[in-house]
Amino acid sequence: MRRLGFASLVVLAVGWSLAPFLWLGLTSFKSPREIERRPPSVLPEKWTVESYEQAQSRHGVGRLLRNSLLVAGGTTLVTVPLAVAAAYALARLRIPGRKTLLSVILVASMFPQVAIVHTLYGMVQGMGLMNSRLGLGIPYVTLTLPLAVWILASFFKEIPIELEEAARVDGCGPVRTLVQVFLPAAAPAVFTTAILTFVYAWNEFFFALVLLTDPSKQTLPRGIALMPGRYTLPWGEIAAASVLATIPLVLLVLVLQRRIIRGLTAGAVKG
Amino acid sequence: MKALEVSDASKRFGDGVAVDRISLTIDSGEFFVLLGPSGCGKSTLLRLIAGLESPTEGSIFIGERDVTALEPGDRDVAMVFQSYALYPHLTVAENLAFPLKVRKIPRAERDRRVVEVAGMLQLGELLSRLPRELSGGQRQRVAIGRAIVRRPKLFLFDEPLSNLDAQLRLSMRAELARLHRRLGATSVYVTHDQVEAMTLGTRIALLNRGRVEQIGTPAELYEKPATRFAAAFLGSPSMNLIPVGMMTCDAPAGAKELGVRPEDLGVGEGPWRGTIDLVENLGAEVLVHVRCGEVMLVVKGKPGEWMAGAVVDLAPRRIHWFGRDGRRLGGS
Repeated sequence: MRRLGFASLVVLAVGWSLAPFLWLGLTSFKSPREIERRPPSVLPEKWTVESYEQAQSRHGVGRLLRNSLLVAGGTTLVTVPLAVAAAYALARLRIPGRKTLLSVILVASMFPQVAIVHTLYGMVQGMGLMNSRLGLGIPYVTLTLPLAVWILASFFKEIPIELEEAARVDGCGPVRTLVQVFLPAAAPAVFTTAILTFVYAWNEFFFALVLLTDPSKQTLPRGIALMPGRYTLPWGEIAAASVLATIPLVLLVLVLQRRIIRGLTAGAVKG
Repeated sequence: MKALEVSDASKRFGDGVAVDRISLTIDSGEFFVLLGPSGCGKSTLLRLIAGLESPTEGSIFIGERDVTALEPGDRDVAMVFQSYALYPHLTVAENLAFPLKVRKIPRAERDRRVVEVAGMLQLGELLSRLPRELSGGQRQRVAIGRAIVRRPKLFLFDEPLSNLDAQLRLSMRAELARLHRRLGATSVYVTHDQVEAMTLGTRIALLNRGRVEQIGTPAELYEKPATRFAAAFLGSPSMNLIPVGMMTCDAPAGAKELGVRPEDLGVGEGPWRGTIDLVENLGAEVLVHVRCGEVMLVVKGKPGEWMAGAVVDLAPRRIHWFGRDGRRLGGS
């Protein structure tokens, strides 16, 4: 009985979270006419990829996807190595005021975007980087770096220092210790941070809205927001683009999930 | 032959002194134990020898070579950590081979040595496992194997048994003793456990507040403790230490305190009369608490001979005398 209650609670929670996505997915395979119908149908009467074709031909969703991948991927590739280096130093070196430094970093990551967008706009314009993927990527790195450093530093502190000491006694230099001993032990933390960074950059809308006006450079969230016309609301195309925006994230998490779940340093030191 | 020499080494952290001008020499083949309560500086001294810390003053020689300025990896020492410190992402075989790989030893030789060490420590079945799939005792054996496989000049052990449960600790202790007899490798072993120190050590350095209280064989430390600290630290239950004047005795000149081990006290004609306050039965023996005036003495005896409330006369078989500075008085 208790198990049944628990199971139904789980089903309810999962259903509640998944329902909007399911609806979105189903909508993307309906014809425009079916979408407009009242009362709406649950399953598409006739499955069609018309909305996807429209999203591509009218809004160039493939290009949006490519831009998003470039910006989010680039942000992740720059942020994560920088954050690893900074967090390693913060976790291991005896720096006076280390705690204060970490707090300041955390505060920096909490600034509301609205508070800095004006200055940022000026800076990006001054650098001549308006309407470029680089112009968007630089602020993204700035914004994701503090949180990434903070997450990694707290993860790194949990990794026993004896591991690195054992490596030193075994004859490893600092670089070899970092690459062959520390990072493999810290891999789950690094992958988690990479996913969070990627997701942030992938979903970011506000700066993309402000800094990118040229449609050829726009990212998915920005592109989707532009889809509604003055007199039309193309639900099918929006749903199709949203599905396409979700797929890379789902793939990323599925691929990296195994590495995240593998315990942090299970077995390295006493249990 | 000299295997290790620590010469006037000190280590200060900020205002605190962890190791205070310690000098000692260890011969090759010795199993040398650094013993002391927590915070006495024994682990810091071991880390100085390993090169994980550098001394504020003094120097360290391994063999004839001054290694004070060398990195741990260049000192030809291997270390077994309290927490094992196995590489979590490597299998047992890879963990064992890792130090050899770093030293660029050819693959064939590497494999041969790993198999040899695995056989020695009964790890053969476990070679393809990851550390997290091992029990505590197995992890400890891998950690020891990773040290042995290197064939270093010096083995360093930092409380390697303290994370194991009592049963396992006993069997690993015996295993370590057998390994040392078999390999004859010079070892420095840190522990706070006097039983480990007494059973494993060929010599013991007893440390207190960063300084050496006494260096000697286990028997010397037990029979002739050089200070009152050494007297109180070794032996279980610890020695009865009584200010001179509290009990009738012929104290030598300058004696401030007398010490009698619980096993050196017996019922007899003795000068000390007291009432049995409590009898603790340990099975093979009993610990008897006897109240003599203001002093409470602990006596080790055979079960059945003692009854709470009875009045007994105690005779010390052997008395240790300590002076005002806490040092043993000569001749006692």
